[in-house]
Amino acid sequence: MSDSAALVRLCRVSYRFGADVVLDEIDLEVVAGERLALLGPNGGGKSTLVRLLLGLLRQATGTIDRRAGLRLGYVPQFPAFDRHFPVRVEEMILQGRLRDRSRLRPFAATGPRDRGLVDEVIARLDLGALRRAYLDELSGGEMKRALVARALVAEPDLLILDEPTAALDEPSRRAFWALLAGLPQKTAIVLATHDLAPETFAAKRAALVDRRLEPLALSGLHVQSLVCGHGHG
Amino acid sequence: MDMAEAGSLFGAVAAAFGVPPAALAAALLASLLCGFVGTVVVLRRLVALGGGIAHAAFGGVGLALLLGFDPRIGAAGVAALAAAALSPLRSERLARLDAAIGVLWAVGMATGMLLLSGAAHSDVEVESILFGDLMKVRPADLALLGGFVLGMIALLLLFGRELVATAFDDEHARLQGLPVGRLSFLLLLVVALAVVALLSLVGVVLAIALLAIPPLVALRLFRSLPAIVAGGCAVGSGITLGGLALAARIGTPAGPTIILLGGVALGLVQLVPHRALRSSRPALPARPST
Repeated sequence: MSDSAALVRLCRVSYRFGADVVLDEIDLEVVAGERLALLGPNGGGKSTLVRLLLGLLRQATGTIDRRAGLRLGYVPQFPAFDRHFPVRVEEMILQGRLRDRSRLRPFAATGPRDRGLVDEVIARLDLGALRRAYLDELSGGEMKRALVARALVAEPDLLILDEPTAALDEPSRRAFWALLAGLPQKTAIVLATHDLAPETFAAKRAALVDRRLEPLALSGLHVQSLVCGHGHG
Repeated sequence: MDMAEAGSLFGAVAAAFGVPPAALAAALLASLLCGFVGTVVVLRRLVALGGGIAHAAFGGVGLALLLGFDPRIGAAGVAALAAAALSPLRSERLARLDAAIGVLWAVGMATGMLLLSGAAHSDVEVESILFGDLMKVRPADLALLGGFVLGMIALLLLFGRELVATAFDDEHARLQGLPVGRLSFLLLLVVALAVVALLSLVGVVLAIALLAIPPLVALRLFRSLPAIVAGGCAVGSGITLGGLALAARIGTPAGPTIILLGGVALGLVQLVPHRALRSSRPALPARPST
């Protein structure tokens, strides 16, 4: 990608499921330090757009460019794994460091820096009491925090969260927004939700996803163009 | 203790069990597969798929005999092809492929039976392929099993962490930059070849049961992955050695005796209190500060 600030750029991207057009001609650029909220109704294509950004789906038409070496963190709406898989919370979080494991030292255990990062994130997300627990012992809110922890230890350039507050009670929801607001500014955040509290998320941009992508005005914030090639937020 | 002394001790143990030393060695090697590969089979919900591959391998046996080469090569070839065809599918999709697996199961059996029914192969004992014969395991089968177990251990030492990450959450592993396609293929290939390696011991029909029962017992008793794998090996040893000794004593076929013993163990372990063993979180966990 020519623009070093751009992490991911979608140009005229469409996605189809059979004959149905799920997303149509999407232009979107995500830049470093981004705080982008993707809003829209259920079935509008938010999760599909998220998966296209991540590279987990392939578009039918258009182009998607990602910065070389881009580090991604992802908190899915519904985890793809089996909750009964015998993995402890701290082991799952440590899997966020797999990218940094040396290919030249396959026998090496996880390094002290990896362990330090995991300890730090566990403390920040108040998961200390649960670090030795297994995943099927967690409540919905605890699981969500564990998934955020796994995403954060990867030291992502871009953190993407899909409906992160769904199924959370109000106190957990407030704690979650506070956590997001406290993340380092250099980490770009894309949040797909139909339940946005923009004042706590501190979104700089917002867009409506309902087959197409339309910029939305956020109260007190200037909504910048989301159109590819027209600058970025 | 030198090799000769170890060999004579092993022979003495086999004699105490009333079985040939090769059968004892094969049973111990199979136990390692129960723990390592069987745990993958159970945790990734590949039991039906493994059974399908075993029955498809039966078709490979028939094809090999028709064309005049080693049936183990035919079985391994078909199993590897099945693994290659299925590995692009994501884990939850694989677990839902029951109809396709049922067809694979039946078509493999039908192909094998038709090919084996030819007059040129009338000397082949279909029953020994279907149910195996651990008491009559040949040196070549033992070498194949030993080589496969060694290869599997080397693979785990090299890529264990990546394989576990892929088996647990292939989507996240992909985002971490792991070669998930190749790792998924490797996982399925190991399962497929483990099934083939067990064919001469317990046959097409029982191979997947031998892989699945020990980790299922261990899963009931243990929570951590290393404990489940070690427990699977231990339970595998228990049922294979116990089944062998029982079969030698009462004169029954070894394979079915082993599987029945495993079935009894799985039934008995259901009596173990579930919650008491499995809770590992603090009784009063800290709640998130709000």
